[in-house]
Order: sequence, then structure tokens, then C-alpha cells
Amino acid sequence: MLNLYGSATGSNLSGKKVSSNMGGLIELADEYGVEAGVGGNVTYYTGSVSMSANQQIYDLTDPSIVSLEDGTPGTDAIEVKRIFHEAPPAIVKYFDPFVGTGLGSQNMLEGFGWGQFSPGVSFMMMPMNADLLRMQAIEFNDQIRKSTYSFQLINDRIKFFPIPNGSNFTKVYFQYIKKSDRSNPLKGEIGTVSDFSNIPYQNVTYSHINAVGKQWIRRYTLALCKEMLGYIRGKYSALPIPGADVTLNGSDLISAGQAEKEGLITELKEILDTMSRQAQLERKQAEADSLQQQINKIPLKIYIG
Amino acid sequence: MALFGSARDASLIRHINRELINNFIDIEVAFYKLSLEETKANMYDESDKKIYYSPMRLNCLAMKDEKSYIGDDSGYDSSRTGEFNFLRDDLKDKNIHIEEGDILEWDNEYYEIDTVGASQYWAGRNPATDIGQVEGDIDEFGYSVAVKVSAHVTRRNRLNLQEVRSGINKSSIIPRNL
Repeated sequence: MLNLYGSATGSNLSGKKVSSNMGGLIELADEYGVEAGVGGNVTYYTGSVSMSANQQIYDLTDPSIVSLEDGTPGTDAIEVKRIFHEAPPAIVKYFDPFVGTGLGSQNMLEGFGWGQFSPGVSFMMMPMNADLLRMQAIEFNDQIRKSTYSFQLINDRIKFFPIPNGSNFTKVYFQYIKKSDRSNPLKGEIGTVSDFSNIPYQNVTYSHINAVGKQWIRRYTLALCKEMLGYIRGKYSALPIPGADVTLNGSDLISAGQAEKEGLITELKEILDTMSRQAQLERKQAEADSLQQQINKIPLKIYIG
Repeated sequence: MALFGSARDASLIRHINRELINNFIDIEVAFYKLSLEETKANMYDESDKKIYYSPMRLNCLAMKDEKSYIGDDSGYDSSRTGEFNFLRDDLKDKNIHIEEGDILEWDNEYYEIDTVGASQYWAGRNPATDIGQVEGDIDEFGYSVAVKVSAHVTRRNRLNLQEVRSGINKSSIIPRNL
């Protein structure tokens, strides 16, 4: 079924080999991609909030300050996925001599007497954890000693840090999805295979069925005839004949026909189950295991050097 | 209007009866129709030399009773009665009308017919006499199944159907395996 999701319903698949594909699985994974922000089938739109001086908290449902690429603030339910209001990465301050925690490598090199060499040919080897700790120190410094760029989003209200002063930043952009898009159950193409009912399998041409199948059909037809004849004969419990009554074997025919039908259906299911891809693979694995065990019985040669 | 007993159902019964009587049970009797035109009667409308048409073979369900013996001053005699049930539609299709006085030959005995009746109806009605159907108000329902004939064994020398004084044993009474 997963191999056929989303394929065209017009083409007849009867008697054709259906190739395995990942289409159905990928489509199932789309919704996870949406939530992870790495693709999927829900559009990420862009919106922005206009800042006012000395106003730290903003209402995302206020259409006078919020601009949405698609939808109306306060009317369309949105879910903010990402806010582009972050402090610059610590690495950009790594070599900043004024940051306070920056790496004064030039001073150190000069202290060792190598200051006169060009930075392109002089290196100072330091452990990786020293770099990581230094960058962490820069971030802590910005967060604790300063009011770094960050935000807090709870429900419809968003609080920005630092307090906008009308010049440090005037507009904050964000990405969002419309909740109606995410909950829309009809994201795929209309008119394609959606379930078992519209897979384009048509009636199998009888002349194309092999002898095994035809034999099964004959037996099932016989069972149907028995059952039908049983219902006909069983309509009246006793039929009049000249001078007497006769009781026909309707109930026997019905029970025999039904039992044969049930048996044939069970037989067909079992055959189809054994023909499934999973069953075939399991069988091949069992064959391979058995073969390997047989081969293991072969005495190993003794190497004489 | 009855839900059951329609002409279609009657057709089922007719087919089953024909299959049963003609193919499976397959009891055949010879039917000798009395020729009234050729039979001469006396002033009391009696005749001791009845003339019959050539026999026809008919299928039926036949049963005969045990022989009963009567001994009196004039001698010792036996009698037997039998019952023959014909499918009415078979007789109708062959345009055969069984009446009292006709002869049935079965199991090397000749039965003179005493009574003829056709009152075995399926679904309780005879479509030929059903008032609603005759008047055209309703469809065909019911079915007249059988013609029931009661008869008694009669002496064959009275019938003029078979030579009984020739003194020759008829080969037909000897079983084939002897």
C-alpha cells in the first residue's frame, strides 16, 4: 500500500509488477520534517514585528504592529517556528581584544619572544576545550553582564531583550506556520491513490489466469452453486409429489457450500500470505541459514605449510 | 396476494416432480383407454366385451396392497387394490384423461380403475379454478399436483387384451437371469 500512495488512479495495475519505492514512507515522514523545520508539507511563512522605543512586550495578534506574509494577525492561528533575534555568535568576539574574555594571543606570543613574526607563520597550539570554554565565557558575559539579544515567547506575547530603544533594532522577523495548514488533512494531490478502495486494480482477465487459479475458481463456483441450489431447495421444507411429500437436501447443500467457500477463502489467504514479499524474504533467509549450516558440516582442510 | 406459491415456485415443483418421477423413480405402467365408440353395451349399458385403445406407457408412483383371499360356496378367490399417482401436468401435456373403467397394467397385473381424483393442491389452491386468477385479478398461485387413481386387480380374460387360454407360458414373465 505504501508503494502506491499518491500514484495515479488512471493506470491499470492488474497483472503488472509494482516496484518498491519510498514515496509513501517519505510522505508519512513529512509531518516530522515540518516540526523539525527541515522540510515537510507545511509552508513556513515570514512575519515581522515592528519595534517601538522602550516597549519590551508585543502582542503577536495585533495587526497594527505585526505583519504576516500570509494570513491576518489575530484572525489566523499561527505557530511561530523561529525568531530571528539572537545575539551574534561568540566566535565573532573570539579575537576581540575588548570583549574582556578574548584571546590575546598576540600578547602571549610577544611575551614568548615571537611577536615579531607575521601572524601568518606563527601559531599557538591550544586544546579545544580552551576554545569552547572561552566562547562559553563570552556568551555568559553577554547574558549576565549585558542584556543580550534574546526573547521570551509565551502564548501570543513576546518579550524582547534588550529593551528596544528605537535604534538598536526596529523590526524583528520570524518564521511561522498557519495551524490550519498543518491540520489540513488534504495536503496531497487529489485524485491519486489514497486507500485500498481506489487502487487501480481492475477485473483480471480470465484467460490470463493460470491453471492453479482457474482450478480455484472452478471449486469456488461449485461451492457457490451448491449454496444457491441449497437455498432454492430449502425454500420449502417439503415439496409435494403425487400422493406424498418429499424433503430435499437444501440444508445439506447450504452447509456444504458454505464450508467449501470458507475453506477456499482460507486457502487463498494462506497462499497469498506465503507469496508476500515479507514471507518470501523470510523463506530466503531460512534457506540461506539452512544452506550455511549444511556447508558448515564440510570438514575444513588442514593447512600444511 | 399471497407471497408464496407463485407460478415460479410451482414451476420448481413441476420440474422436481418430473425429474423425480420420470428419471429417478421411473415406474412405468401401461394405460389402456376404454373405447366407448367400439364397445357394444346391452340395454343396461353393460358390456362383457370391452374394447380398449392401444396402451400408452406412463410414469407414476404406484403402490399395491397385499392380496386378500375370499373363500365362499362358489370357490376360492383373491383380490387386490392399488393406488397410482400421476403427475397431473404430464397427463395434461400428453392430453390423457384417465377415467373410471380404464385399465392400468403393472407388475403383470391388470387394474381396473375405480376412482379418479385430482384434489392434491400445493399452497391450497388449484390455479385452474382459483376465482381470483380466473377473473384476472391476481397472478397464478398454487398448483394442482397429482391425479390419484384407485383401482382393483381384474381378471385378464375379461379384458380381451391378452390371450390367456393359449396354454403357452409367456416369456415376458420369466426373469432374464433364468
